[in-house]
Amino acid sequence: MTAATEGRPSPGTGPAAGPLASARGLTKRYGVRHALAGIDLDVGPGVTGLLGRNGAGKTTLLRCLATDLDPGGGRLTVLGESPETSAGRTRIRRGIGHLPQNPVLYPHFTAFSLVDYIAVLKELGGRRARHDEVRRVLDAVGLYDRRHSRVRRLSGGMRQRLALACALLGEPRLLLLDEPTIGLDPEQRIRFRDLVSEFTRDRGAVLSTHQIEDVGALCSRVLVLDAGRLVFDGSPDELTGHARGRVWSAARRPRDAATAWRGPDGRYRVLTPEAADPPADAGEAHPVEPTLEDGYLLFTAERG
Amino acid sequence: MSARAFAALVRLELWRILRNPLLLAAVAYGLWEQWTYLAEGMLVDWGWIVDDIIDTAPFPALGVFFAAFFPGSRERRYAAASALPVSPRLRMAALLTAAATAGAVALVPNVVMGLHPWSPIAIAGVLSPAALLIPLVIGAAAGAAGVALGLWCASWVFPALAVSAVVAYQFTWVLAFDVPDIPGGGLVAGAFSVLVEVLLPGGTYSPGMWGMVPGHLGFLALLTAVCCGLALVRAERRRGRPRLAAAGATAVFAAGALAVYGQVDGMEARNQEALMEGTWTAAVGPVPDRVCERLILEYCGYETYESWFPHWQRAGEAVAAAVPERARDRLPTVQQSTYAAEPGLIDSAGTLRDGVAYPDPGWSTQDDWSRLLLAEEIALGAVGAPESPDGMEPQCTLHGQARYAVKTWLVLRAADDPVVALGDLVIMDDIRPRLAEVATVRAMLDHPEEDIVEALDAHWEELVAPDTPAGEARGLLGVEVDPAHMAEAADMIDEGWFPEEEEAELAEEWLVYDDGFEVPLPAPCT
Repeated sequence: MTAATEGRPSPGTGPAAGPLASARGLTKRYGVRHALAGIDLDVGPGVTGLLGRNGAGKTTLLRCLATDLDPGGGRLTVLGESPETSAGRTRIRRGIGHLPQNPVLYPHFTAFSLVDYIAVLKELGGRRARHDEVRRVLDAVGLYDRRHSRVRRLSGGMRQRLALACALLGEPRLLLLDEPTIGLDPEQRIRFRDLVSEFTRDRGAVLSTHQIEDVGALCSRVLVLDAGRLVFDGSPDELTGHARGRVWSAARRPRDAATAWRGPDGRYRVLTPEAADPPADAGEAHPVEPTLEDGYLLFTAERG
Repeated sequence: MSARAFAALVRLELWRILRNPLLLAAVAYGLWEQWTYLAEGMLVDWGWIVDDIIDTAPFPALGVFFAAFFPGSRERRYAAASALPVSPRLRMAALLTAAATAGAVALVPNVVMGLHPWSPIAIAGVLSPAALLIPLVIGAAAGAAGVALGLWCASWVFPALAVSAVVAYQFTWVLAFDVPDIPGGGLVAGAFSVLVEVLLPGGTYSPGMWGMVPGHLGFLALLTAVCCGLALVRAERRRGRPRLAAAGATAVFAAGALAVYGQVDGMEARNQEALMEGTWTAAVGPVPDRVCERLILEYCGYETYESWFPHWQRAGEAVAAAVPERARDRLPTVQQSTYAAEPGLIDSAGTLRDGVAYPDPGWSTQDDWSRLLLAEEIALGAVGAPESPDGMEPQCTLHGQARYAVKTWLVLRAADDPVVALGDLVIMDDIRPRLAEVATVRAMLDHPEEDIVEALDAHWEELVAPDTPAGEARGLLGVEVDPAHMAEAADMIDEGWFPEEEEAELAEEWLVYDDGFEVPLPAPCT
């Protein structure tokens, strides 16, 4: 507990040894379309990666967990609290840090004043301790030197880091990160990974992203959503293992490949639907070690 | 949300609003305006003070409106993620609290400066302290209105319109004269006067219509509440509700405005009637006792206005002391205008004939003009000329009679610099003065005062007789007019009058003003 969180109304505490978030039969509809179609899920400590195509339901799931969106059905608890009541939602919000997909950052505020404003909205007090906390998170995301810059003057990557700083305020027990590394340069992505990794030593985070490398580098667990359904729940190694024996380096693009693309060396990386010999029309081919991306691509390719 | 967090959010929003450069500039401008009122050095009562404060309130209020418009439009344009412990509704409540507080705080300097803390001039009358809340609530309403407008319409068109309205307000007095020459000017001036009336129905507080205070405060509080309600409804972003709320708020506001209008109209009517009757208006509150003080003349006013007497006495006693004792029964009593009827509102024939002189209600201590006006009324009474004291138009003229010189010399006894004041009187005269008359007065100023007083005592009846011609004044007063007096008098006349005017007036027997308005030349006083 930082000085800024002292005296703050208590967030949801959650059961002593239970999951940080739990969903049973969680559904959400937009008109006739099911964004979430019966999700069963437990989120524990560490980083949980959330993968899926565009429109698979990742953002909807994160917004439900963040209490930003009312689920249409099913049961949901976050930090041991149900978001069905206003008091429950408030307690949940005190204990989470949410970085939305399109964070709203007031352009006329300075970086410091914006994070300070969010700190007030997170009920962090008093003033001195709150400002210390603001400096801490700005430093953590590498923006302390730009604390007096107006938000509109910051680059896209800096704004993303600023939004992350807002999410980190008050040392939340559960971080919900929706595509947090968009716009970050490689050094910043490494720094982000380090930050999240450090943060989740004793806490949890759900990381929704299309950056498979981030999942590989950070997550101990991967979820894959497809059309609102949870189609994979396992470790990154298990997802990688899904492609074992099905990845080839070939001279030509075979017709029946699940996925294939041409590499800089002029050879094709070919993912095959089945673990078998290389396709006959691939020319000279030899097996290669699969990556997490191969596993994910094969998994989604298999679902059309 | 804890009260502590709410207070922190209010403080943060308050600080952001208060440090807005537009607001600071508007407050500074409002203070400057207030300072210009103070610099006029008027004798003021508490009603006047409150009027001045309210008159300058639109400037800081506009600053608050702007400063609050920004966070309002911010919430409209960039509604922040809602997954935070503090709900959007509470955030809006905190913003409205901050905006209203900022509005009240921004008006405090104006109120403080308006209270004349550094002025040596004592404030007359009584004050209803609640009236000082009015400018603060104007500020609060402006803050709430800024947030509401920002939320409902983030467009800059509306703040721009608000600025235009205030600029128009500043130039209303110009428009009042020039509207016929400006295309659509009448419409603009009319629309703006309606807007001002809607925002603060009712007229002036001077001399202190404190009975209007609860109505005004209630009306402004209602305006603030309606703006807050509209902002909160809009912040919830629920379909259908905002329109319903806007309709309801408009109805409530209109009903409140009508109720206040009804109250204020009634009070204004009673006030007008009371002024014409020459009594303290019932709308002011308890009727204060009248207080009179006799030196050579008698000076009467309302209790708590006694600090104005010395200013009146400086004019009255200067004139009266030079009038022979046997003629002093013709000298008028000096009475505060509200107490003795408002001269501008009543039949002018009923004033000096009743032996009453009215000090200028807007008495300036910065120059001797108010003193000269009162001295003239008293001097006119002394020489037996029943001229209208309201200065609207001459009833009769003393020109051509010996008593013109006597009256003018008596008036000049109240001046700081009689020679300069003579030039002013010549310029301000109703018709072009005759050279010989002005030269006689100028020569009297060079003559020892005791000799003139002695001559007045010796020949008073003859000097003030209507049939004693101007030419006999010099002889009766023992004054010699030399060429220097003539030259100086000619300069004074030429400075304010065109040469041909004299002939035109004498030939036509009509006085023609710049705007073509014609009045008959005044007949000689009898």
